[in-house]
Amino acid sequence: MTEAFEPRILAFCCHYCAYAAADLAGVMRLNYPTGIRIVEVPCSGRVEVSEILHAFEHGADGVMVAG
Amino acid sequence: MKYAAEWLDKIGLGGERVRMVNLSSAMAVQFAEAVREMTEKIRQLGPNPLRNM
Amino acid sequence: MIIGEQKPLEEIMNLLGDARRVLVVGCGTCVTVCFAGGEKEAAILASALRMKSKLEGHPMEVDEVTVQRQCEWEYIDPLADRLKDYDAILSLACGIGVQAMNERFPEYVTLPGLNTTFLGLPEEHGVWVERCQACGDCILGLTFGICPIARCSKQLLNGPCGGSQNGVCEVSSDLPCAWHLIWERAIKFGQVERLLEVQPPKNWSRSRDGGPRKIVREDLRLPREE
Repeated sequence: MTEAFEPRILAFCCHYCAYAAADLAGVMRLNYPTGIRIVEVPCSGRVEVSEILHAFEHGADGVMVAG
Repeated sequence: MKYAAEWLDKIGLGGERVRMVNLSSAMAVQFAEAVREMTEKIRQLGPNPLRNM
Repeated sequence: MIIGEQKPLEEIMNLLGDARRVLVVGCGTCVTVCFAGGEKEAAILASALRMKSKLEGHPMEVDEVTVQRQCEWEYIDPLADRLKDYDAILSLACGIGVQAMNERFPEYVTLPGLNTTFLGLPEEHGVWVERCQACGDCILGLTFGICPIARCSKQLLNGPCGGSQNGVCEVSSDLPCAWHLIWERAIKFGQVERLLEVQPPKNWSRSRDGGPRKIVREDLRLPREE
């Protein structure tokens, strides 16, 4: 494993909770890893298994579902 | 989530690559912490082998 | 409804063999409702096959399509033009759908991606149980609506047997004794005497004993072209 490996993680975030939490993290100037890519969803129950697999098929190193 | 992890195991990518977290809109600190934890775990697991195929 | 269960991914990969272009065909009826072979499962399986084959060094191109009902010509006919683009077709329907595909499109081999398990119902979320064996001669009217053919391990007509303990079948501790249930129903309706009448051996000629079965309704048939 090379030192340069920065995990690319897709985060499905619920509009009402985790997305707002992420937003607040920004406002609070909190530091967190830069490899995260956020997709806002109306509800984490909206996320399909096929969409999680789609992320991996297209190179995601990890997927978080946050709600 | 269990179902998604089972599929990742069957495919050979590893079910640990997917995780569910519960947060409220006020839990910015916990959000940053969860992202850090997940990033560290994935760093240990290494890159998605499909990435450069 | 018909209950099915997806085959293990390894078995599906073996069935597909050297195929490079695969079409997964889901079915929108029974197997959608039992989460085995509907649109969602077709998308998941197609994605899984693409990733697994790539990881194993022989990438497959996998597309998916789901038809409303794979066991009727009208619904599968629109697939006719698409099939030529693939070297393997994998059906996620029950055994009837798989055979309908093979019968309608004889120039292609359609492979099964599911095991068709039984006729039953979801007892609760995620739990399916067998309720009917399609014996062709329904006796539910004699047994207070509980089928001893599908639900008694011995298919007894004059049960229960000695293996019934506290309402549970000796075959498995989570299997209720069908005849115990029937007796409870008879007591509830005050009609125990109906169960005391000895039932003669069942007429199995309407079941599979006479070979594959067929129903013909002349009133419903379309005029034949001479």
